[in-house]
Amino acid sequence: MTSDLPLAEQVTLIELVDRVLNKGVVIAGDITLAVADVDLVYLGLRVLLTSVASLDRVEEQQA
Amino acid sequence: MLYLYALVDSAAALPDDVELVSIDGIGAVVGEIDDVVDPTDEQVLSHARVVDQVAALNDAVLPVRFGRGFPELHELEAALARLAPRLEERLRAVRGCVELGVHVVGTVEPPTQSELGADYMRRRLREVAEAEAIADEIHVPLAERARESTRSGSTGPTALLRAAYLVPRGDVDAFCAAVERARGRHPSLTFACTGPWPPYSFADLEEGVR
Amino acid sequence: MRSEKDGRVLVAGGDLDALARDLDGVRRSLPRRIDADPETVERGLAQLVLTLVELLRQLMERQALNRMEHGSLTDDQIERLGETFMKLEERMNELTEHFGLERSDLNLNLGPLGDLL
Repeated sequence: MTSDLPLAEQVTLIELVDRVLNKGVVIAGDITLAVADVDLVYLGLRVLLTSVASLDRVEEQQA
Repeated sequence: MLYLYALVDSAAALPDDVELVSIDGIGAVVGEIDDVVDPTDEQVLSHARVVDQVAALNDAVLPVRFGRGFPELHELEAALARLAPRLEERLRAVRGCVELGVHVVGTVEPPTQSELGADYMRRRLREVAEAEAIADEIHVPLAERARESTRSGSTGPTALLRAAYLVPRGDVDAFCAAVERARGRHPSLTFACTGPWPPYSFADLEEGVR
Repeated sequence: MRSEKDGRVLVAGGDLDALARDLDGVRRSLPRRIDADPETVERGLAQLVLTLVELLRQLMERQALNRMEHGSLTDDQIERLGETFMKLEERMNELTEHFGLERSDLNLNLGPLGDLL
């Protein structure tokens, strides 16, 4: 993606790439056929944030 | 290996160069692939192109994320059989609809003078509350015009709203008019509404995500 | 048939540069194969690390603001927390500048988990 594209096309490209890479169905049991080094970091973060969310709920209940 | 592009009804129409694997009323649009793919712009665009073509030929499509595959056919068939009820539900939910994205950005004024810690906290609290109020004011009327919507948490005065809306095809123009009206109510903010997209943001099979 | 790259901006208005800057952050945070070029690798790693730090900073600040709103912080705690967050903010600006990054590059797409922030 180059930033000498017109703005509308830049926006379109980013919105498209964001959807294709970050949204869409992921079927449990499938395998990852794409090489992206940050996948592990993202996975780790999801675990971390899920625990934070659970902690929040516990605190709310105790308050 | 089988590369997965989208999930559809089992009686789906297909573009060229892809096949359909059908189980229990669900179809999987697949291609053959030898090796892993890099998430380069080219590959991503190529994936998007196939999904777009499938969406143009069918009124219910669940786009699959980039880079998902199955080494063996029977594994894909087993997954489809297992997930058929949930996939059917999602296909019903998105039938006849497209996705529209709305992105609203503001500007943050940096503090003009150095402030005490307590002032900083009070200012931040105010900013967060204002940002949330504005995001709600824009999002709620738009969500009412959509079958479903998703929305990212407001991260502050700059990224005010990033949301996706599942809108029946015939309602797209009316929805855009509603976005224009929202823009009119907030002349100091930057708005962008993008689409129509195949329903990437509404394809998630996990419970309680919506 | 429309091509996948055809402009799909239906409505737009306001300071589009601000939007571009925000989107630029999204673009640079998208999962990509890391380049072999050492300079790019270093910057990519710095971006990852700083994104995590920024995430934690936002989480902590949000927690603190929640507590302040519920009245469970003393004045002294509010003052000290505020000073800490201001210093953190300053430090983040310094660090991102040092690595040739923008604050908007530290954008982590959290999907549904983004609601935690």
